[in-house]
Amino acid sequence: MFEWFWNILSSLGLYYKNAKILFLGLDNAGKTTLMHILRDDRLVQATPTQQPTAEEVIIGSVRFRAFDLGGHAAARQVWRNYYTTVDAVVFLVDSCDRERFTEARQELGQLLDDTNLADVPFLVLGNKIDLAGAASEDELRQILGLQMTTGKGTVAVQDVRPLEIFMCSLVRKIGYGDGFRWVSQYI
Amino acid sequence: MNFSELEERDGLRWSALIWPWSRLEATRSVIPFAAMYTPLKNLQNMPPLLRYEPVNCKTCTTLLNPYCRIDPNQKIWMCPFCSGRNPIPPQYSEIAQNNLPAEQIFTTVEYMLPRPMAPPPAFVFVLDTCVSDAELRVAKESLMKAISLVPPETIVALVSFGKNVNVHVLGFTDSVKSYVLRGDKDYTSQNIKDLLNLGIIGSQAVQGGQSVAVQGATRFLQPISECEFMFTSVLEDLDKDPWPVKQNQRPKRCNYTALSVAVALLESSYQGYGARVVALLGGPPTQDPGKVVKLELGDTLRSHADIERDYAPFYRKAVKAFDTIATRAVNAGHTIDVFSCSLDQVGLYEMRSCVDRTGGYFVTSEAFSHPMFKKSFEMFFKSNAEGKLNMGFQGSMEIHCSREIKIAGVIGPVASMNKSGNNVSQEVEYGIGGTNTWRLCSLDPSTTLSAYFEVVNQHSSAFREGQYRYVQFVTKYQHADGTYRCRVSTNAGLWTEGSNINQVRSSIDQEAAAVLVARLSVWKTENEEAFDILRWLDRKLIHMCSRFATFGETKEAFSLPVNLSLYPQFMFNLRRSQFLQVFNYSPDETAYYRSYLNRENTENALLMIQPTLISYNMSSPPAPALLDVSSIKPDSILLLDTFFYVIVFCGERIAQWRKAGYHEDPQYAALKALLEAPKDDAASIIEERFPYSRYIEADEKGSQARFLLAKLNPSISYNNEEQVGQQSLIYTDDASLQVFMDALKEQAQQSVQNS
Repeated sequence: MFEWFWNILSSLGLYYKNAKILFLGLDNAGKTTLMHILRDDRLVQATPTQQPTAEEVIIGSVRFRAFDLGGHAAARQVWRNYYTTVDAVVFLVDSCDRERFTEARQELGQLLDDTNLADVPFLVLGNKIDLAGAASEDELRQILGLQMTTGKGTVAVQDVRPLEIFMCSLVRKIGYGDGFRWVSQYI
Repeated sequence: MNFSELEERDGLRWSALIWPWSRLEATRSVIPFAAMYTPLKNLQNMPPLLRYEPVNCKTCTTLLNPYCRIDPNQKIWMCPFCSGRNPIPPQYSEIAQNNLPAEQIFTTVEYMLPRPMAPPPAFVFVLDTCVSDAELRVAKESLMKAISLVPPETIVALVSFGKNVNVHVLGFTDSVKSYVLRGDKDYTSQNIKDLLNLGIIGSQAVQGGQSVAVQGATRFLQPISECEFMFTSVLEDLDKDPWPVKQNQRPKRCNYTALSVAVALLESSYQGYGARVVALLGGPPTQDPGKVVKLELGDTLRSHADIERDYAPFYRKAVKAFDTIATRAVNAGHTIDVFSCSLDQVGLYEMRSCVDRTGGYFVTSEAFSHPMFKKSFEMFFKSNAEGKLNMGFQGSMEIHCSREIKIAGVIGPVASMNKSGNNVSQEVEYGIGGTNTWRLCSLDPSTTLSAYFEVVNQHSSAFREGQYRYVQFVTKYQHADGTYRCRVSTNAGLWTEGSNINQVRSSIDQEAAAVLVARLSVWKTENEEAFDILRWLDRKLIHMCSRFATFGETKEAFSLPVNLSLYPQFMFNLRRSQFLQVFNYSPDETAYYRSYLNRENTENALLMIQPTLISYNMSSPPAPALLDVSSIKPDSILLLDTFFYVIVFCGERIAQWRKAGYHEDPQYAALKALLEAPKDDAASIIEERFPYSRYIEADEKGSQARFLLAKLNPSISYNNEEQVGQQSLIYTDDASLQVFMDALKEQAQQSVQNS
């Protein structure tokens, strides 16, 4: 009964769960592009992000306060200032940039090991699958060390940190929707 | 006369040289009737300094200029502004048509006024100590460098802060001493003066003997020649703020109180003389009235979205607090410069009035160790050929104009002096209006103001052929050498009758017009609530085209005269620029970018709106290229200059060759030369520029390439990639220039048909 009531409200835009999410990943992974698509459903060509920015985006019944943090090496130093009170991390990987897979793996590893983020759900998005030569989901799992993940089920798993990888193409606007639906159930 | 000649002669660029005679016709012309004026521009043909007081019209106070008519027989001169008759003063008794003083020949002259010299300029350095040891060390080195660069008579003071504010004693002491003020307390200006015992005022403190001065501000403000040793010792002893920073918290910082103390030091001892507060900030204020974010890291710095939706709980209070500092500095005629070195925001957006109203500079960099800070800081303190700082102080600018026009306002790094007069428009206000005089706490050869006017003639009033409108800019300031100067530029412009639209059209300077509109649009976004600036710009552009373009049966027949042909493209790029689009920019970044659009000259401001692109390849000399994605070629290198950053971009094949090391093989010396040419050109651009530009090297399809792609017209986007094969494309849903122009032609034509 209540469930139904909240659904009506949220479909009317009157009730949202609030959540703080971080968009992390190496530079040129697609964080800013993702942010703009979620905000306006439009694609833009942005310059590399310098200072962190934030936008309010609504996906399903969750109102996200999304933070887009710069991905170049220097900018990564500020990431940890944003770890407190985070509800989810979205980690983007450029699935075509093989030269930097190791770097991406290291950064992701550090995030997963960080005690401040110990219970935080992680959504890994393998972006740019529209381009020729993109790594497959299996390849990316292998390289990023994500063989053991939560599973893409719609029933939330208990007692483990939710972690899953979804492949997507932001410019074709495919794939990330499933990822966000998956992560929403843990918020 | 062409536009650049006028700029070289007077430092002036008008949106149009010939104006329509009546208010109605002027409104119909859509473009603002306005000028970009650079008061301290280095003019090649200006006569030597005039070492006497200027003569002014006793009716309207306009200064004697080449447009005044002299009647040597009756010993009078006639003022063209008010038609007033003035007696020729005795010192001009020899005046005759063949013996005219310089101010009667040259439209721009500079007087050196016979006054006692002003004391040397003062700098109060404000140093944030809540940064890492390594960063603090670099910041201290930069300060040492600065005092080695400025002339030794320059007065300096040092304020450091963390949780609390330390004012360091530089004079009359043998040991390192400082006064400490609490950072979390809201002191009034008077509180600060009492606590620091700043009671003694200006001239006494500067010129007085030791016995008098010991108590006053001179303990803190000393000439470098006297205090260099002390200044160095204090800096050497200065450590990181000792106050512990808890886990998941920010350091306790009192940027506001530190600035307030620095301004108070100068208020009490240097009122009316040239001085700057130079703040080096490493993070946001977290505890005083200027607080922009909580101590806890869980609270994040406000974004544009937060401010827009009023979810930024500290925003209004902080803006108000910094506004009071700005007002105090303006009243004393002092400038505030902010060098912020941080990867995240430090609250520049809240502080913007402190910088923008006092003629200060914003410089932002990711760290004190980054060249964007280090090089800019050095350039800032560089002396010119005469061994003086390249800046003027305590300036004011007054505008006089003839009766057919009134002053609508000024946009630039100035503050109003609230002097109303008959020549001030009561009806329209563009930027800072309601006055005919503005304060320029400091100005330098690049400081450029835009002055907007209103044509007030009634449509019915009779038009006389050959009639001129007159505008005079009178800029008084303190030169860095201590002399008082007065720069006067007088300009006469033609009127034309309403039916002569062609005359107005052919006299438009599209570059100046674009910058004048750009500044106005930024002003409107900042000062008018919920204003849809893009619609406003589009409407203006459509109206302008329907006024000045020629139309035919088809869309293709639409054409603009050659001197207006680029204007729509300027507007297209302005709409897309970071001045109006805040997505992916923090409020601090926005404040920084906008402050330069509002202070640089036409050429630089236009460069910020529409960057320049040069293409280099093996077969032909470097040439300007279209700002379009089609300019990307596998075998060419591009150099893009956006004012704020300069990027050298290698096409795919060139990048492959370079990665393979071909350029190191002597038989491919041409490749080596090709790789070096754009880098050399980039280096010479950056060398000249303040603030020091970010320099980027990128390869096609690489991560850094986005710095280039974001500025190019997406004529080929992913929406039409099927047709293009291997050509580079841009992933965007933004309209291309072609689509924009097609829509513009259609709308303009409709607008003509409807009217």
